[in-house]
Amino acid sequence: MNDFLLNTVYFELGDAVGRENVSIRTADKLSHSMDYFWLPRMYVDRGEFPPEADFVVYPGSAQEVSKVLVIANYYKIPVYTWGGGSGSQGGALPVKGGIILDTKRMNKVLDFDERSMTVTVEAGMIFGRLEWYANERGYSLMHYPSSINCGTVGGFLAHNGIGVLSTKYGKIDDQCLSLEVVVPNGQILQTSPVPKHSSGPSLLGVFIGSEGTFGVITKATFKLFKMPEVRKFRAFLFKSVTDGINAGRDLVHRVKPSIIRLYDEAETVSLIRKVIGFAKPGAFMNVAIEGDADNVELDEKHMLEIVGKYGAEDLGADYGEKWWESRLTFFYPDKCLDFPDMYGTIDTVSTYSNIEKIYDAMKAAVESFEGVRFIAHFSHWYEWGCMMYDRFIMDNPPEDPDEAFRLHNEIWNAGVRAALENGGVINDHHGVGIKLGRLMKEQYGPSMEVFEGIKEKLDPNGIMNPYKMGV
Amino acid sequence: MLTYEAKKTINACRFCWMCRHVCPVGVATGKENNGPRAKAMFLYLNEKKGNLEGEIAQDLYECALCNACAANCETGYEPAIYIREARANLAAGGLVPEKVERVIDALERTGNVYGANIDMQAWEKECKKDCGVLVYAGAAALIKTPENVRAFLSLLNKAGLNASLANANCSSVAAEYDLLGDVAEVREKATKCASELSSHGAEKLIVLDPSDAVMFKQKYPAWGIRVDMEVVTATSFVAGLIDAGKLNIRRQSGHVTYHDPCRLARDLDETEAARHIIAAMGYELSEMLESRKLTRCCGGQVLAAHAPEIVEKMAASRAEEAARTGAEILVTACPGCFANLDGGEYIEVADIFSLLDRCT
Ligand SMILES: Cc1cc2nc3c(=O)[nH]c(=O)nc-3n(C[C@H](O)[C@H](O)[C@H](O)COP(=O)(O)OP(=O)(O)OC[C@H]3O[C@@H](n4cnc5c(N)ncnc54)[C@H](O)[C@@H]3O)c2cc1C
Ligand code: SF4
Ligand code: SF4
Repeated sequence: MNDFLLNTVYFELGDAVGRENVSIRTADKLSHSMDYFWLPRMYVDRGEFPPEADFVVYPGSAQEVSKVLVIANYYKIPVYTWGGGSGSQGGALPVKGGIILDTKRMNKVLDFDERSMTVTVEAGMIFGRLEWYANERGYSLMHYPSSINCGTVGGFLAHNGIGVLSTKYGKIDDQCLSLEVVVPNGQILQTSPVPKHSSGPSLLGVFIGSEGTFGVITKATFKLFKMPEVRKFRAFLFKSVTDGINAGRDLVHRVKPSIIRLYDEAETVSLIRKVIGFAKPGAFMNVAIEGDADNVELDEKHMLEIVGKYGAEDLGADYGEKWWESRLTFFYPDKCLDFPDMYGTIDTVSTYSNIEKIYDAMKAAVESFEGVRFIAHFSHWYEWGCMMYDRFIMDNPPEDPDEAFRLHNEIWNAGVRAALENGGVINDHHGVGIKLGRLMKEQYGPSMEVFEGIKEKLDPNGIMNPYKMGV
Repeated sequence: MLTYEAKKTINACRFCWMCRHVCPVGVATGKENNGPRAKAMFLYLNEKKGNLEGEIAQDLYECALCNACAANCETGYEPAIYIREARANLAAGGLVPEKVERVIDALERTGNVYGANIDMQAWEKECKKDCGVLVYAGAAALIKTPENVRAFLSLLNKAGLNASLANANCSSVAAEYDLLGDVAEVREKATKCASELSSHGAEKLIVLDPSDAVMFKQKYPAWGIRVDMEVVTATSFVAGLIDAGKLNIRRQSGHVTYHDPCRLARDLDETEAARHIIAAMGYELSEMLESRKLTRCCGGQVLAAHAPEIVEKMAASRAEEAARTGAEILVTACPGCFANLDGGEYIEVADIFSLLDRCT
């Protein structure tokens, strides 16, 4: 952008949101040039600068967002909505320059309706702070992703995220009741006031998971839950992943646990030594059941019957209780995967009939690269199937950024294609972003037209988050 | 130049978002740069590529050094290490932003961030000789909240103690350490302050401002600088007077909440003395979720001096949280916190010693 145009737009943006809320400072552009995606982090690690925006804007309301989009639409400047920047798919990266629209100044709780058990909040609030707000009043949103303190309300909605209690309380699209969204022509849209109706298809479904490519989410209403009277853990060792998966399916149908985490043989090897003090082969499962004490007692009885049927060994409650207390610990530096390793989470979801096929195919595909290993566990269980949270890890990736870039993308292509060929999807809860956009057509084929049609209508100038989500 | 410790911490924080929800500056401003991750990323790239210091200077000062991030960090990293070192480097390189430079000038001229000469004549009666107890009120208290200092001294008087006020123009270097880092000039000033205080020959030094108490109790000993007295925080001293039955308290009714000063709770590990005082006054206490070691900093006086617009937001956000407890009064135990929080729209604010003085 030439200086003249830059100054023109800078002035107009300042007019729209207040001069103190627009920046062209290097520091503001730099901090918004790297999210949790491995590639921009690799650039920074190697001392390279990832692509930067020209402007960083902090609007304070839907009205201000609307003004920013109108300006951007007029000048045909890209807009990247940025929540917490904790996304792992490069979804918020300003790859083509333009405007970073950071939502975090929109961080207020607008309504707390104890009668309907709902809360309405601005989309830039850090999710963990919203949870604290609800906790103050004895409620919870029951959305506990590991990045609860890193990401925003809008960010989790934009990627249709998931938390550890999802098997009982659902994914964020099960928890969200309504949305306010600002679209490029400046209109402030509302979805229907409640999500269950026969008043046309769900508008919520259009915007949840749309990754900032259709508009900016500015407000959301969620369900509230009362804290359970008891939450009980129990761990089991199955002889095989197959037994574990079958038991998990039966548990969902009869007991509805809040947590089921089943680890593959490779992860079990390292976990089980911690739990029982020595190595033992098999598939380790950690389950939580919760609710009123008397119901939980009955659930526990049924749970033991089910796992007994599949020949599981009962490993007691200790492991689960400790895991719950320290569930975020594994995401802090020195305890989580970090540089110099190259790694990625190729999570996918499929039916019970297909999920093991995907596991085998993906493991084979990913491990066909020299020096790459694969681990997985299954969490988030539905009546029909479950999610596989798997990771590839390479200890000594190439130092050269371009070489590392290429290899990284090759591994991702191989892993995701293995899922697609066996009845899986590109991703379960981290989203598509720029990382996987190229694979959207492979999953959707001609159905992509639906997304492209919506994009064309809402964003004819293509300003919203270009090159993301494959649209 | 950064130390090994600073570089190691930067390496951890540069790709980590885990503590951003507790950074009081980030929570209040919503700015991506206000938190450890962005600062570490900047410093990492500056080390690798150079030439960024001037661009990132402002961001390195937009931090209250409250250690909420460190307290949250499950690995035990402490971003204040690299932030202080980076500030020292900026000062050495003449790259301090102008508005911060003005505060540093004031500090060098007057020994306080306000650039005010504290008129110790006005406190002539309180500055006595040969007292066993010396009170270090600090510049924030004497300039911003003198009435609270008088209340505190009145309490000591009621407990039958012969106490003297120390000369507040002798700086503890709390502000200098925050703004300039651990440099020779700051240590020299600390040595001067220690010897001036020691010359009183008192047995106890009671410190009103937790920022000063951290210096006397932790930083001076770490630097090998001695204050020849037992150093006690004002809150724990007064809690002790209550336990010893030295104060006759008329029990009150009413509903309060308490704002833990960050340096008292986290650096000095003191959270219960103030609660003990509140309980002794008979108030019903409702806790904020962000309390004790999880407390949320209101901004402090150093940040308030060069970035008042940020501290205004921090204090308002904290006061709003206090009001959500349903309490009528927000009790503070630090002069800097009182100065920041008092006068807002959400809740009445009261200094703990003034409250106690009123009911003794
Ligand atoms: C340590 C760690 C653990 C994680 N664990 C989980 C987990 O357990 N579960 C999970 O689901 N995810 C997890 N993630 C991924 C990440 O936190 C989520 O993808 C989250 O949704 C990102 O939110 P954000 O606010 O940081 O969004 P950003 O990274 O800022 O943006 C992500 C995408 O959302 C868009 N966007 C953001 N806000 C809006 C808005 N208001 N309107 C429209 N579009 C918007 C952006 O344009 C971008 O496309 C983890 C990440 C980290 C770093
Ligand atoms: S202090 Fe700890 S939690 Fe915070 S950014 Fe640094 S490493 Fe992460
Ligand atoms: S010390 Fe406090 S203000 Fe500074 S980065 Fe850490 S949490 Fe934020």
